Amino acid sequence: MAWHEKILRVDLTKGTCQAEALNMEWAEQFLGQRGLATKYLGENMDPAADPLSPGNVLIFATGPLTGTSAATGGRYSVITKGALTGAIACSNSGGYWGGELRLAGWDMVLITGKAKTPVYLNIQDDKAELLDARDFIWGQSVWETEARIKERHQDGRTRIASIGRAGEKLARYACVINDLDRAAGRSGVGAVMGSKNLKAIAVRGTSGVKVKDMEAFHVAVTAARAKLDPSGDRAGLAATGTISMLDITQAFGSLPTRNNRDVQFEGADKIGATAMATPRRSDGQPNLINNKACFSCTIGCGRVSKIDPNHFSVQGKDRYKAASGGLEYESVYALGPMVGVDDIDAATYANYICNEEGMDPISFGATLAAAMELYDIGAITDADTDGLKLEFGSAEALVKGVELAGLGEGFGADLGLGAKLLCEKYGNPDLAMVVKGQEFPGYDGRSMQGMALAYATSNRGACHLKADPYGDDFDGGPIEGKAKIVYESQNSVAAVDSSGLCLFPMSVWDLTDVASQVDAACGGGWTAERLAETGERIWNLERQFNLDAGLTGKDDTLPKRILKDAAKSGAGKGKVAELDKMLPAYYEMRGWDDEGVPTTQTLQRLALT
Amino acid sequence: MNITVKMVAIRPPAPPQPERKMELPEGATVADALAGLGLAKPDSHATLLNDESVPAGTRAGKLLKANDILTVFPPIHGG
Repeated sequence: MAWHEKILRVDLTKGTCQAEALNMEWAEQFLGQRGLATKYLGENMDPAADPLSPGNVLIFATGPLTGTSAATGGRYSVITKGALTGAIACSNSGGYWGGELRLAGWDMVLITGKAKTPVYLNIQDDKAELLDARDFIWGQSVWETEARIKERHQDGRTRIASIGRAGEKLARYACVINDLDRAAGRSGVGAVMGSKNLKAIAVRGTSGVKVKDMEAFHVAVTAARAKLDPSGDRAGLAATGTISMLDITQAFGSLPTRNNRDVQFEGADKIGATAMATPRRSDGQPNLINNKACFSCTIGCGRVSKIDPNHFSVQGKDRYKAASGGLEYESVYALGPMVGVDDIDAATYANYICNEEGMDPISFGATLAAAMELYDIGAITDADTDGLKLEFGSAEALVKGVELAGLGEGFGADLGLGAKLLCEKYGNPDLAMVVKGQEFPGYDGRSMQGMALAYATSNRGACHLKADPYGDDFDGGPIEGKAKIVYESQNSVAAVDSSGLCLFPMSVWDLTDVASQVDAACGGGWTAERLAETGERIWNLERQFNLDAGLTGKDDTLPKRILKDAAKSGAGKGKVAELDKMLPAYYEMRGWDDEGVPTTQTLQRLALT
Repeated sequence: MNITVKMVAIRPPAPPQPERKMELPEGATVADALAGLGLAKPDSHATLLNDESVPAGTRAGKLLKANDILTVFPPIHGG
């Protein structure tokens, strides 16, 4: 069995850490990671609880393939009720932390309550203890936290997942960062961690992960790698990362620009993959230094960058002149076109600060974009911003804004609200480009209709990673086919998210390739069909959590701008998102009633009653 | 007739010249142009003709005219 069959239960209120057996009946139903942790979440908390109260539960969960030699088998997820959304949160991260937790012998860490004073959790193989974070790492950035923990415990191979000052200040989109620049990024899972007075989880493991059938597992992993490793998709991701998507969304006209006022950005060529790799005039060096990979990954889509040492953002700040995690598509969209900025070094700096202080760059950028539009129409004034000119296109506003938001100081406290609450506060709720309170990723739903449906129906709010409508959207597929594509891909993604694997190999693999590896590792007859059914079960479980939390079918919608204002250019010129045509077909396909509630028959079919 | 072809974010091994002029006979279609680009798997790419999507199933019947702009890109996934 690839599961250790062991979880760590941490009660912060009591200050206790206890091992308990993993519920294997649930593992058979929900696989691991996203699915299994959602089951644990629903069984351990009241979904109606305030996400920032001690009643919320915070789970760090791995999949059965996390920590194995399966290509990209290093993922973990943070599952909780999102501080940004009040909905289910499932934020997935790579790096090395998830693999290390498995090497320490744990499948999951389940955290309840709230510590009286700030603490951090230290896991050394089968030993776990809560340690005082005061006068040590509380009040420090993610980067400083990692360095201090490694120094105190005298082990450079300790892996750390932590929050920055944004999480301590309860910025609604604060995230959890591991390995300095890998993020469980979305929905405010870092704010939940901060609300519990939990600063970090350090983990060091020296054991391994056993699989059910080593020979079959080796055959399955080798076969999957034989597909993935020579593929053009893998080579493209290694060479340019995800940032090459910018050239596509720019060409297609689905690149959210200036808070979705526009769908193409005149400065795209200054911040895209080519610009990133082109030597600068100032010092002859490119922004892009290298690529890097997560645990057991054969792709290496991660970027390593260096900011121009002459750039205004880093003057007098030497630590930002060193190489660090660079821009990816979502971060460059949010810190570039969405705020109208075409300065790649300013965007890279803002990305560094998001990593250093633990903020989701998508939500930060989209919130700043909303603030810029509010400023543009006079709803926010210099009096609100202490004189900061929040003008679209201002690299200075981006740099200052991210610094303030990271520390929760001045207008940064308002930016920490997220776009929804910010726009409500300043009297223009329609200007928030959000679904269920979560800001848009880098795709406009007027030219990408499948993505519009995917955003509207995503259980965690607007998300580009919970469905896979890309191919059909870019091919101009008909509206009538969107519901099926979104429904089926949501199920597939939920299964992959529960396995310990990354989604990126899925441009080359299908569920058969995942199933062969899961079955060899776990036994029990895992097939592509069973994975798809498991994904559907997980999707409905998340839906039930949201309904119990108070969300309804009315939350499956999009901002007025996307539904009413036609796109100005590109493939979607003259179009709005046709959600009214797609949503009923989607509900029917899901086996939900007209209000978006799963029917009794659907729940029975999926063994959820 | 001459058209302009723009190739965007093409995965390795990518043909040279991301933007080029292409000489085609009258009556040529989007499928004809796509087949002449030297792409490893031309059918797996998405196409825009003057900013309008041309779905894969319609390319063989989509006639080109002089000065058209054909944009070609891989339908890569997000991240």
